[in-house]
Amino acid sequence: MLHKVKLWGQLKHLAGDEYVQVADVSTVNELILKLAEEREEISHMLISEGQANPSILVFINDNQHLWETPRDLKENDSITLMSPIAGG
Amino acid sequence: MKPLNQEEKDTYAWQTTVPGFGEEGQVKLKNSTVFISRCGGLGSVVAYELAAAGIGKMILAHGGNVKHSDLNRQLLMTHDWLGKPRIESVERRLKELNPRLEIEAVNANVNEENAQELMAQADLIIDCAPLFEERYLMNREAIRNNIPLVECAMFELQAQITTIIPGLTPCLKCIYPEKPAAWKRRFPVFGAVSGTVGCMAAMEAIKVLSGLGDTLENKLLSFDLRDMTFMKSPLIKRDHCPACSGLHS
Ligand SMILES: [Zn+2]
Repeated sequence: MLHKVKLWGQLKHLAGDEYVQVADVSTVNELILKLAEEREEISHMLISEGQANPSILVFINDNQHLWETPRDLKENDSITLMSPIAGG
Repeated sequence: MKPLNQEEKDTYAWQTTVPGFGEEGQVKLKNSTVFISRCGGLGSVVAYELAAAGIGKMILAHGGNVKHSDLNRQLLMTHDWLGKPRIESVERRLKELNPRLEIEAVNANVNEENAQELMAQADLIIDCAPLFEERYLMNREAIRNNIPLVECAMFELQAQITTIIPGLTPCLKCIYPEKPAAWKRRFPVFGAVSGTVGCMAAMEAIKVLSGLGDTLENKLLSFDLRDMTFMKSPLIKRDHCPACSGLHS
Protein backbone atom coordinates (compact mmCIF):
# COMPACT_ATOMS: atom_id res chain seq x y z
CA MET A 1 0.00 0.00 0.00
CA LEU A 2 1.29 3.44 -0.94
CA HIS A 3 0.59 6.41 1.38
CA LYS A 4 0.67 10.00 0.28
CA VAL A 5 2.02 12.27 3.01
CA LYS A 6 1.74 16.05 3.09
CA LEU A 7 4.69 17.84 4.71
CA TRP A 8 4.11 21.18 6.36
CA GLY A 9 6.47 24.13 6.90
CA GLN A 10 10.09 23.25 7.67
CA LEU A 11 9.61 19.60 6.75
CA LYS A 12 8.36 20.60 3.31
CA HIS A 13 11.12 23.11 2.66
CA LEU A 14 13.91 20.80 3.83
CA ALA A 15 12.53 17.85 1.86
CA GLY A 16 11.95 20.05 -1.19
CA ASP A 17 8.54 18.42 -1.73
CA GLU A 18 5.09 19.18 -0.42
CA TYR A 19 4.00 15.55 -0.89
CA VAL A 20 6.05 12.41 -0.42
CA GLN A 21 5.05 8.80 -0.79
CA VAL A 22 5.76 6.01 1.66
CA ALA A 23 5.12 2.37 0.77
CA ASP A 24 4.44 -0.75 2.81
CA VAL A 25 3.84 0.65 6.27
CA SER A 26 0.79 0.00 8.39
CA THR A 27 1.04 2.50 11.28
CA VAL A 28 1.99 6.16 11.73
CA ASN A 29 5.03 5.08 13.71
CA GLU A 30 6.27 2.85 10.90
CA LEU A 31 5.52 5.56 8.38
CA ILE A 32 7.67 8.12 10.21
CA LEU A 33 10.57 5.70 10.71
CA LYS A 34 10.50 4.71 7.03
CA LEU A 35 10.22 8.30 5.85
CA ALA A 36 13.21 9.23 8.02
CA GLU A 37 15.17 6.40 6.42
CA GLU A 38 14.25 7.44 2.88
CA ARG A 39 14.57 11.21 3.30
CA GLU A 40 17.82 11.95 5.09
CA GLU A 41 17.27 15.73 4.86
CA ILE A 42 14.37 15.57 7.35
CA SER A 43 15.37 12.55 9.41
CA HIS A 44 16.76 14.72 12.25
CA MET A 45 13.31 16.28 12.66
CA LEU A 46 11.39 13.01 12.43
CA ILE A 47 13.52 10.99 14.83
CA SER A 48 14.31 11.68 18.46
CA GLU A 49 16.44 9.26 20.49
CA GLY A 50 16.00 6.56 17.87
CA GLN A 51 12.19 6.76 17.95
CA ALA A 52 9.55 8.63 15.97
CA ASN A 53 9.69 12.16 17.43
CA PRO A 54 6.56 12.57 19.61
CA SER A 55 6.63 16.34 19.05
CA ILE A 56 5.75 15.94 15.37
CA LEU A 57 2.09 16.86 14.94
CA VAL A 58 0.26 14.29 12.83
CA PHE A 59 -3.11 14.82 11.19
CA ILE A 60 -5.02 12.01 9.47
CA ASN A 61 -8.03 12.97 7.36
CA ASP A 62 -8.24 16.34 9.15
CA ASN A 63 -8.15 14.71 12.60
CA GLN A 64 -5.24 14.98 14.98
CA HIS A 65 -3.52 11.66 15.58
CA LEU A 66 -2.34 11.05 19.15
CA TRP A 67 0.69 8.84 19.72
CA GLU A 68 -0.94 7.08 22.66
CA THR A 69 -3.80 5.85 20.46
CA PRO A 70 -2.09 4.01 17.59
CA ARG A 71 -4.17 3.46 14.53
CA ASP A 72 -3.69 1.36 11.41
CA LEU A 73 -3.36 3.35 8.24
CA LYS A 74 -5.96 2.87 5.55
CA GLU A 75 -5.63 3.00 1.78
CA ASN A 76 -6.77 6.57 1.15
CA ASP A 77 -5.85 8.23 4.43
CA SER A 78 -4.68 11.77 3.96
CA ILE A 79 -1.69 12.28 6.28
CA THR A 80 -0.06 15.58 7.27
CA LEU A 81 3.14 15.98 9.30
CA MET A 82 4.12 19.21 11.06
CA SER A 83 7.22 20.00 13.11
CA PRO A 84 7.03 21.98 16.39
CA ILE A 85 7.92 25.66 16.49
CA ALA A 86 8.27 28.12 19.40
CA GLY A 87 9.84 31.34 18.10
CA GLY A 88 8.57 34.53 19.69
CA MET B 1 -17.10 47.90 35.15
CA LYS B 2 -15.66 51.36 34.54
CA PRO B 3 -17.52 53.10 31.67
CA LEU B 4 -15.86 54.88 28.73
CA ASN B 5 -15.04 58.57 29.10
CA GLN B 6 -15.48 61.02 26.22
CA GLU B 7 -11.85 60.80 25.12
CA GLU B 8 -12.15 57.01 24.91
CA LYS B 9 -15.41 57.22 22.98
CA ASP B 10 -13.67 59.51 20.47
CA THR B 11 -10.50 57.41 20.29
CA TYR B 12 -12.28 54.11 19.61
CA ALA B 13 -15.11 55.42 17.45
CA TRP B 14 -13.81 53.55 14.37
CA GLN B 15 -13.91 50.15 16.12
CA THR B 16 -16.99 50.51 18.32
CA THR B 17 -18.99 50.51 15.06
CA VAL B 18 -17.83 46.93 14.34
CA PRO B 19 -20.96 44.73 14.43
CA GLY B 20 -20.92 42.44 17.46
CA PHE B 21 -18.40 44.62 19.30
CA GLY B 22 -19.83 48.09 20.00
CA GLU B 23 -19.25 50.24 23.08
CA GLU B 24 -20.01 47.20 25.22
CA GLY B 25 -16.99 45.41 23.78
CA GLN B 26 -14.85 48.48 24.30
CA VAL B 27 -15.86 48.66 27.97
CA LYS B 28 -14.80 45.01 28.36
CA LEU B 29 -11.37 45.79 26.88
CA LYS B 30 -10.98 48.84 29.13
CA ASN B 31 -11.67 46.69 32.20
CA SER B 32 -9.33 43.86 31.15
CA THR B 33 -5.79 42.96 32.20
CA VAL B 34 -3.59 41.09 29.73
CA PHE B 35 -0.29 39.41 30.52
CA ILE B 36 2.25 39.22 27.67
CA SER B 37 5.67 37.57 27.67
CA ARG B 38 8.02 38.29 26.01
CA CYS B 39 7.75 41.58 24.11
CA GLY B 40 10.08 40.55 21.26
CA GLY B 41 9.20 40.19 17.59
CA LEU B 42 5.82 38.71 18.37
CA GLY B 43 4.97 40.25 21.75
CA SER B 44 5.91 43.79 20.67
CA VAL B 45 3.27 43.72 17.98
CA VAL B 46 0.67 42.06 20.22
CA ALA B 47 1.22 44.71 22.91
CA TYR B 48 1.18 47.60 20.42
CA GLU B 49 -2.06 46.45 18.79
CA LEU B 50 -3.71 45.90 22.16
CA ALA B 51 -2.53 49.29 23.43
CA ALA B 52 -4.08 50.80 20.31
CA ALA B 53 -7.30 48.83 20.81
CA GLY B 54 -7.77 50.20 24.33
CA ILE B 55 -6.92 47.35 26.73
CA GLY B 56 -7.04 48.78 30.26
CA LYS B 57 -4.00 47.14 31.81
CA MET B 58 -1.00 45.11 30.66
CA ILE B 59 1.47 43.12 32.70
CA LEU B 60 4.58 42.77 30.56
CA ALA B 61 7.66 40.63 31.19
CA HIS B 62 10.84 40.91 29.16
CA GLY B 63 14.44 40.86 30.40
CA GLY B 64 17.71 42.18 28.95
CA ASN B 65 18.92 45.29 27.17
CA VAL B 66 18.21 46.43 23.60
CA LYS B 67 20.71 45.06 21.06
CA HIS B 68 21.20 45.82 17.38
CA SER B 69 19.96 42.33 16.52
CA ASP B 70 16.58 43.07 18.16
CA LEU B 71 15.79 45.84 15.74
CA ASN B 72 14.78 43.77 12.70
CA ARG B 73 11.58 42.69 14.44
CA GLN B 74 11.11 43.89 18.04
CA LEU B 75 9.12 46.94 17.06
CA LEU B 76 8.86 48.41 20.56
CA MET B 77 12.67 48.68 20.77
CA THR B 78 14.34 51.75 19.28
CA HIS B 79 17.85 52.62 18.11
CA ASP B 80 18.20 55.38 20.70
CA TRP B 81 17.57 52.81 23.47
CA LEU B 82 20.49 50.48 22.54
CA GLY B 83 22.17 49.12 25.67
CA LYS B 84 19.27 50.15 27.90
CA PRO B 85 16.54 47.88 29.31
CA ARG B 86 14.16 46.53 26.68
CA ILE B 87 11.21 46.71 29.03
CA GLU B 88 11.72 50.48 29.47
CA SER B 89 11.63 50.92 25.71
CA VAL B 90 8.45 48.83 25.58
CA GLU B 91 6.72 50.87 28.27
CA ARG B 92 7.79 54.21 26.76
CA ARG B 93 6.57 53.30 23.27
CA LEU B 94 3.22 51.97 24.46
CA LYS B 95 2.62 55.06 26.60
CA GLU B 96 3.40 57.32 23.63
CA LEU B 97 0.54 55.66 21.79
CA ASN B 98 -1.87 55.28 24.68
CA PRO B 99 -1.16 57.30 27.86
CA ARG B 100 -4.33 55.91 29.47
CA LEU B 101 -2.89 52.38 29.44
CA GLU B 102 -1.86 51.06 32.85
CA ILE B 103 1.37 49.05 32.61
CA GLU B 104 3.11 46.77 35.07
CA ALA B 105 6.50 46.29 33.47
CA VAL B 106 8.84 43.57 34.72
CA ASN B 107 12.49 43.50 33.70
CA ALA B 108 12.70 39.70 33.58
CA ASN B 109 11.46 36.80 31.51
CA VAL B 110 8.95 34.35 32.93
CA ASN B 111 10.65 31.86 35.22
CA GLU B 112 9.82 29.33 37.90
CA GLU B 113 10.06 31.99 40.65
CA ASN B 114 7.98 34.81 39.16
CA ALA B 115 5.41 32.92 37.05
CA GLN B 116 2.65 32.52 39.61
CA GLU B 117 2.72 36.11 40.87
CA LEU B 118 2.93 37.65 37.39
CA MET B 119 -0.08 35.89 35.94
CA ALA B 120 -2.50 35.44 38.84
CA GLN B 121 -4.24 38.79 38.22
CA ALA B 122 -4.56 38.52 34.43
CA ASP B 123 -7.80 38.01 32.51
CA LEU B 124 -5.83 36.65 29.55
CA ILE B 125 -2.29 35.41 28.91
CA ILE B 126 -0.56 35.77 25.56
CA ASP B 127 2.39 33.46 25.10
CA CYS B 128 5.06 35.06 22.90
CA ALA B 129 8.13 33.35 24.39
CA PRO B 130 10.93 31.82 22.32
CA LEU B 131 11.50 28.81 24.60
CA PHE B 132 9.29 25.84 25.45
CA GLU B 133 10.33 26.12 29.13
CA GLU B 134 8.69 29.56 29.36
CA ARG B 135 5.71 28.45 27.29
CA TYR B 136 5.04 25.53 29.63
CA LEU B 137 5.13 27.91 32.64
CA MET B 138 2.47 30.13 31.03
CA ASN B 139 0.41 27.03 30.22
CA ARG B 140 0.72 25.89 33.86
CA GLU B 141 -0.38 29.27 35.26
CA ALA B 142 -3.25 29.53 32.76
CA ILE B 143 -4.52 26.15 34.00
CA ARG B 144 -3.90 26.89 37.69
CA ASN B 145 -5.83 30.18 37.54
CA ASN B 146 -8.32 29.19 34.84
CA ILE B 147 -7.18 31.99 32.50
CA PRO B 148 -7.51 31.78 28.71
CA LEU B 149 -4.19 31.57 26.89
CA VAL B 150 -3.47 32.69 23.35
CA GLU B 151 -0.59 30.52 22.22
CA CYS B 152 1.36 31.76 19.21
CA ALA B 153 4.72 30.85 17.74
CA MET B 154 6.78 31.32 14.62
CA PHE B 155 9.86 30.01 12.84
CA GLU B 156 11.41 31.47 9.71
CA LEU B 157 8.40 32.24 7.46
CA GLN B 158 6.04 29.90 9.28
CA ALA B 159 3.72 30.49 12.25
CA GLN B 160 1.08 28.82 14.41
CA ILE B 161 -1.63 30.09 16.70
CA THR B 162 -4.33 28.56 18.87
CA THR B 163 -6.49 29.67 21.80
CA ILE B 164 -6.49 27.58 24.97
CA ILE B 165 -9.43 27.64 27.41
CA PRO B 166 -8.34 25.54 30.41
CA GLY B 167 -10.56 22.50 30.89
CA LEU B 168 -12.35 22.99 27.58
CA THR B 169 -9.68 22.88 24.89
CA PRO B 170 -6.35 21.12 24.49
CA CYS B 171 -3.55 22.86 26.40
CA LEU B 172 0.04 23.30 25.26
CA LYS B 173 1.01 19.99 26.92
CA CYS B 174 -1.79 18.27 25.03
CA ILE B 175 -0.23 19.58 21.80
CA TYR B 176 3.41 19.00 22.79
CA PRO B 177 3.51 16.61 25.78
CA GLU B 178 7.29 16.82 25.97
CA LYS B 179 9.69 19.63 25.26
CA PRO B 180 10.77 19.22 21.62
CA ALA B 181 14.43 18.31 21.88
CA ALA B 182 15.59 19.96 18.68
CA TRP B 183 14.26 23.45 19.45
CA LYS B 184 16.96 26.16 19.81
CA ARG B 185 16.58 29.64 21.31
CA ARG B 186 17.95 31.34 18.21
CA PHE B 187 15.71 30.98 15.17
CA PRO B 188 15.54 32.61 11.74
CA VAL B 189 12.94 35.38 11.69
CA PHE B 190 11.59 38.25 9.65
CA GLY B 191 9.74 40.92 11.59
CA ALA B 192 6.93 40.77 9.05
CA VAL B 193 6.27 37.12 10.00
CA SER B 194 6.30 37.61 13.79
CA GLY B 195 4.25 40.77 13.19
CA THR B 196 1.65 38.89 11.17
CA VAL B 197 1.02 36.29 13.86
CA GLY B 198 1.28 39.06 16.50
CA CYS B 199 -1.64 40.89 14.88
CA MET B 200 -3.62 37.64 14.79
CA ALA B 201 -2.89 37.03 18.48
CA ALA B 202 -4.05 40.54 19.33
CA MET B 203 -7.27 39.91 17.42
CA GLU B 204 -7.78 36.61 19.25
CA ALA B 205 -7.29 38.50 22.54
CA ILE B 206 -9.87 41.12 21.57
CA LYS B 207 -12.32 38.35 20.62
CA VAL B 208 -11.79 36.29 23.79
CA LEU B 209 -12.18 39.36 26.03
CA SER B 210 -15.16 40.92 24.24
CA GLY B 211 -16.99 37.82 23.00
CA LEU B 212 -16.71 38.93 19.37
CA GLY B 213 -16.59 36.36 16.55
CA ASP B 214 -15.19 32.81 16.71
CA THR B 215 -11.83 32.11 18.30
CA LEU B 216 -9.26 29.40 17.53
CA GLU B 217 -10.44 27.18 20.39
CA ASN B 218 -9.67 23.51 19.58
CA LYS B 219 -8.05 24.59 16.32
CA LEU B 220 -4.50 25.22 15.24
CA LEU B 221 -4.07 27.81 12.53
CA SER B 222 -0.78 27.28 10.72
CA PHE B 223 0.54 29.40 7.92
CA ASP B 224 3.60 29.59 5.78
CA LEU B 225 4.36 32.97 4.23
CA ARG B 226 7.02 31.44 1.94
CA ASP B 227 4.18 30.29 -0.31
CA MET B 228 1.20 31.94 1.43
CA THR B 229 -0.47 28.69 2.46
CA PHE B 230 -2.86 28.67 5.43
CA MET B 231 -4.24 25.58 7.18
CA LYS B 232 -6.64 25.17 10.09
CA SER B 233 -6.40 21.80 11.88
CA PRO B 234 -8.57 20.44 14.70
CA LEU B 235 -6.74 19.67 17.95
CA ILE B 236 -7.60 16.97 20.49
CA LYS B 237 -7.53 17.30 24.28
CA ARG B 238 -5.53 14.38 25.70
CA ASP B 239 -7.33 12.26 28.30
CA HIS B 240 -4.11 11.74 30.21
CA CYS B 241 -2.52 15.15 29.74
CA PRO B 242 -0.05 15.73 32.61
CA ALA B 243 -1.08 19.40 32.80
CA CYS B 244 -4.84 19.65 32.24
CA SER B 245 -6.45 16.22 32.51
CA GLY B 246 -7.97 16.80 35.96
CA LEU B 247 -9.88 19.89 34.83
CA HIS B 248 -13.56 20.10 34.01
CA SER B 249 -15.39 23.00 32.49
ZN1 LIG C 1 -3.51 19.43 28.37
